[in-house]
Amino acid sequence: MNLDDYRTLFVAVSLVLILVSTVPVISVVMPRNAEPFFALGVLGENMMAEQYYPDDDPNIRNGSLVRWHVGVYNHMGSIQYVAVRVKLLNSTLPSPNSSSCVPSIVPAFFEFRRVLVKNETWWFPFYWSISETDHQGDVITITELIVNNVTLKLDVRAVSGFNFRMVFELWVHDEATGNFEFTWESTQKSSCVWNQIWFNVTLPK
Amino acid sequence: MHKHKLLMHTPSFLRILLVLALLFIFASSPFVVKSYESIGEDSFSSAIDRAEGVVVSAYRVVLEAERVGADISGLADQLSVAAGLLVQAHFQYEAGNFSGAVYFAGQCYGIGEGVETEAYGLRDRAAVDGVQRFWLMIMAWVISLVVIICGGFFGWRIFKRRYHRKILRLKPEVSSSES
Repeated sequence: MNLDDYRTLFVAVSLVLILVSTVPVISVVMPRNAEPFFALGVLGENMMAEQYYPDDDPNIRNGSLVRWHVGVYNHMGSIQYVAVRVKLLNSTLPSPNSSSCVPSIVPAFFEFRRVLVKNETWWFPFYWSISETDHQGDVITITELIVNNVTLKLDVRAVSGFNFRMVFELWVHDEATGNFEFTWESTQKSSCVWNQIWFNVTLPK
Repeated sequence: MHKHKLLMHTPSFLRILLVLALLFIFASSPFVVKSYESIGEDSFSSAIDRAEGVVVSAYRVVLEAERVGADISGLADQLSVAAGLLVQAHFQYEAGNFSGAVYFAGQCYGIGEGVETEAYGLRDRAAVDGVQRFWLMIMAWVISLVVIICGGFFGWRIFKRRYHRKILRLKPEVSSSES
């Protein structure tokens, strides 16, 4: 190696050292912009994507306890005040719209709230049973539900008790409006998340 | 005389009785109860609204504290408890248990206020710490740049001098080319 080669080596090593020492400053001045999102999931009895119904039978009877676990993951890069609103729908009532981020017009009968820290996953039990139904002709109406030991009056009907669904919507507190909104801003577009599980109701013989 | 006096006062006595009876009827009428209930309902509902407002404003301060680099995990947990109590208050209110609603709203309000106060302190401390940390980092960066550049410059000069000395110390080898 001649002197010119050594000079090149010296300059290269100096530049690398300057670059390494500048990285922490750059990371503070220009923080990493990861895609922000929320995730919402519903798991069965054993915290797995199975055994959603008692005896794996989606035909639910009065008094049968259904054990679900609902999870929310916060990847928004900051703390978030969120609410999971639960709605009982039949097949004809309108679902939330994922593309336009419009929630279902049906009012929520139950709500869970939490302030999630960055990258936190929050799991909570959603144990429910039907405590009262009404049967008129071919139509079965769910009139009373017990959710996590809270009794609630409802009025949702379905022909032959088929195709009821429990809808979980994630609402996020919006700093600008001061209200919970069924949408959040994610890299220049609005996003929303919801989930649903279908079931039927059978009457006792 | 006494009997005569009594008789003279009878109509006014009856009038007073009648007024009292009417007052009693109105006082015990369902609509007085109703109006009392509506006033009560409003105040219960405003107790929930107040609690809701405190949780939201505490959340905002916690968010600000997080932005300036404070560790807010403990405050977030407390706020979650307050949010849970708020949901309970709403349930109680919708079930018609107004005293229960006020109880949960009050509990929520207390926690929310505590979190807000604590978050303000945490935010201010973290802001000062953050500015100090930032300038310390900038100073450390500038010092490291100076060390690298000066070290490189002087290192190179020393190296060059040694290199030249080494070259001059080399003994030239004379080789014959008689062939």
